[in-house]
Amino acid sequence: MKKNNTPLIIVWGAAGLSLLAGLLLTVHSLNGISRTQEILLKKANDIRELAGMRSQANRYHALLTAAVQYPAGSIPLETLARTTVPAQSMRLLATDITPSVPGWTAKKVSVEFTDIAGTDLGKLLDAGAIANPPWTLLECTLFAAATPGRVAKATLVFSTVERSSAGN
Amino acid sequence: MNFTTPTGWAHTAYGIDENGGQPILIKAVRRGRSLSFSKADSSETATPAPRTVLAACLFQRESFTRWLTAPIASSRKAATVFHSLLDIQLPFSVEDCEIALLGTMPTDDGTGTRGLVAGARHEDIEKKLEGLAQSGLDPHLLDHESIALWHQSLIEYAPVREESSPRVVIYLGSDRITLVADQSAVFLGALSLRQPEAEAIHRFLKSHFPDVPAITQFLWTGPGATLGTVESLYASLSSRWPGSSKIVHEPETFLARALAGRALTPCPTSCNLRSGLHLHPELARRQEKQPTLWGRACLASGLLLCLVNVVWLAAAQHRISETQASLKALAVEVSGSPRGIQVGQEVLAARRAMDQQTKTMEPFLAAVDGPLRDTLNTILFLATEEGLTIETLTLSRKNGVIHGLAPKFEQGGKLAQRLNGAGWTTSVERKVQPPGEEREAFVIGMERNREKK
Repeated sequence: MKKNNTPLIIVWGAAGLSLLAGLLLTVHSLNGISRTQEILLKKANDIRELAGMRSQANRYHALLTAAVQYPAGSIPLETLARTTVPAQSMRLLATDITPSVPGWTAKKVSVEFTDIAGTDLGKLLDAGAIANPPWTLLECTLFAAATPGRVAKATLVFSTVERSSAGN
Repeated sequence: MNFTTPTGWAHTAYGIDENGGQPILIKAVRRGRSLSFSKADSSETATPAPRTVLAACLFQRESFTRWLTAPIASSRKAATVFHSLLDIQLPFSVEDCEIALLGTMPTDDGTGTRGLVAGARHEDIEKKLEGLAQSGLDPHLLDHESIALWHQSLIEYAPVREESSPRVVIYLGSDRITLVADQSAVFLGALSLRQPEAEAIHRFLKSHFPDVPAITQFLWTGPGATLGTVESLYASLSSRWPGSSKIVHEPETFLARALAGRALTPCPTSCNLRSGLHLHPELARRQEKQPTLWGRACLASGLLLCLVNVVWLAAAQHRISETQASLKALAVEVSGSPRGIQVGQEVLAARRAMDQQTKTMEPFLAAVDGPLRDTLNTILFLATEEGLTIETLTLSRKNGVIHGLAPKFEQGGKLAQRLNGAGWTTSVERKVQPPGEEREAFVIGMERNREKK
């Protein structure tokens, strides 16, 4: 009888252990469901956010790709101003050159105009916009003159980008 | 006392009746929920196929049935005292018997419990088995003749619900007569006779029905239930026991059918007096295996549960890993970082990289995102159109202030509205009019409301 009982004890022992393990695993799995959902949801949100950033990066890449056509260096602002505004009215205040993305530098120029026609200012802005690379207006401060259509004093800050000599 | 268990695992059963030492064999096969019966011969029972059982019975003369009454309302508790009650009633010790409790019911007043037991002495069981062995038969089950006859009569000739008239089943064999009394589908008692004597039958009926009922049903069965024999016997009885008389269908195999059917179909009155010491080796083997089978089933269930959970956990982890890999790849692509990014830091690393990139891209973005030139041109154009005088104008990519004079304050408002539609949020306020100035002074504050990156 003893000989017969031993396999039975082993079978039932193993059955008990496997059922207990199964139950514990089931409890563990059930407890883990909401945590897993939380994790996946967070990662999905992160992926969405990163996808937005990737779109942004792609836009930057497109801008840089378009900028490849710029020649090295830029047309000096004074040269543009010479064709649009009277020379005596312009005074160069400051020039600031800083590195931009690799292979490019950013140039910021501050100029002051005195007693200038509003239309001349407009011509300068248009000429800057179509230059290659373009000169972009960043800031301006205008004080009107007594004469309609004229500006007593105008302080303008322009920026442009220049391909560095190593090329991009 | 044990509740006997039917051989539910079998799908074929042979019912064995005996008539004058000759076996009468009926084969029953389970087909779904129904049984099909056919005659069989002893060559089929010599070596039974797997999942086949042989069912014989102890005749009424070799065994006994008793109704016991315990003054205990609970049937479970009453069952524990039936053994002692039976010992008192039997002329021999109950320890020398195999007993089967076939059912219980409350007493009429509800204070006690009645139990129907069937049993036989060990020596009678052994004698029966030896007798059957000589015919080459080794039955798995030893049913009780009277109980089997009574049960089969209810199956083949179910009483009408409203009918409570007494019924007597009479088995006519060449070497035995068995009487079973029933009323309202309740087994009342049984008797064995050597000869079919009308007087003895009458006394048996009188013992169970002291007041002769208006109608008594007689069901005749057994190999001796021929028309002539039955008519003759019934003629002697019908004057004292009026009612109806019927020979069952195929009376010679009625008991064998009953035994075969009961072996395959569990019922409350299932009875196997070949138990305990006499238990058939195959049943003993199955009983022994049962705990192991159950144990294996539990083990398999436990393992399956473990497996399901492991697979589920692995799948969940895989999903997380996959998502994490996509997240990391995207973060590396956005941040341009060739080195790995710590888990949980992907968005932060990418955001830092993008912020840095946005800073260095400012000059490029300034040229395309809402050029200030357009805003300045709009202001100057509207000023001319509306007759505004711009006294001072301060403008940057993020904000601006316009001090001006207008024939009417509302014209300053129009400028503000136009700037609202060009990506600015504006506020317009009146200023104190300069002395001597007829025009209305205004100030417009501007905030960029759409940062294109």
